[in-house]
Amino acid sequence: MRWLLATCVATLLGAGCGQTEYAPAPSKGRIQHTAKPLADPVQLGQQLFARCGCAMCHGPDGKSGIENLNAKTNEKVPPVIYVAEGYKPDELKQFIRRGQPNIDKMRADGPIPPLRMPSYAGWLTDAQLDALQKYLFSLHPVGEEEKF
Amino acid sequence: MWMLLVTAATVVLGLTWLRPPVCQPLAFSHAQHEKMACVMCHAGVESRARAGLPDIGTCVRCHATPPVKSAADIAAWNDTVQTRHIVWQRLRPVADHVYFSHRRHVDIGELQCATCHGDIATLTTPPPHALKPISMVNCLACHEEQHVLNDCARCHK
Repeated sequence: MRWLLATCVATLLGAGCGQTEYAPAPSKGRIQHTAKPLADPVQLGQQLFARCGCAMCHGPDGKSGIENLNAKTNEKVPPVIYVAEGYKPDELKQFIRRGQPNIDKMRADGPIPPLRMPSYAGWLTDAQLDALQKYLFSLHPVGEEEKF
Repeated sequence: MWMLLVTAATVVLGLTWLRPPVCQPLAFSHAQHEKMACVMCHAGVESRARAGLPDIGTCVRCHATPPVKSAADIAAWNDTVQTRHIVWQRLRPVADHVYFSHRRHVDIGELQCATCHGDIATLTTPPPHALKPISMVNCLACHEEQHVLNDCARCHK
């Protein structure tokens, strides 16, 4: 009965109630919520990889990216399982902070690749970046070389 | 008395569901983005009272070109880029005297967004109406179920 009376009150009080390239805006958010506090940085990094949208483009396990028309990286968002070969930890963290606003084209006269790597400066703390870097390095397949 | 209450409930449902359909300025697909956390676009959802709605600066962090195909959608995107602001229409306006904090519900209460917003993450186009009705009845019922205080001043200024 109380609920229906409340309904009446709520009703009375609350009712009614192309090819253009664009510059990315500076970050204004902050990733701070995690489902459970994680002590293991690799696990935390894995969680951030999914939450921050990395997995959307690089694939859920970082092995294969989605299509990115005319991107030099085989017209796909590149995999991230080989980053340990090309970056030192601090270099990778710096790259994630900075992002890559301009993706190199496969064909110079072709269209601008529609997807780019966003900057995470201001979104991730140093500890989170550290965890993400550790997770990405952990993906490197043992004994396997990069394919391109 | 019962007739009065039934009438009141009908009025509430009517006001909730018979609102004119909302038309958004961009054909945004939540489903395309559902793999990443809501906070990436709704920047305040975990840390502030207001979840916030993304402006075009959020979109162009990842999209270098218009992520739409039709001429009308591309024109709408280009217009938005010029103004730097997306005029999103609210699906569920909350009265001025009601205080609702997303931080309290998402970060502290650890509620899933779908609890109040329904399956919006699965939609490929903007919905014309809120997927779940918002009402004080629902708020009170959930608070009771979760053993959260239900005093008036908690939500009403």
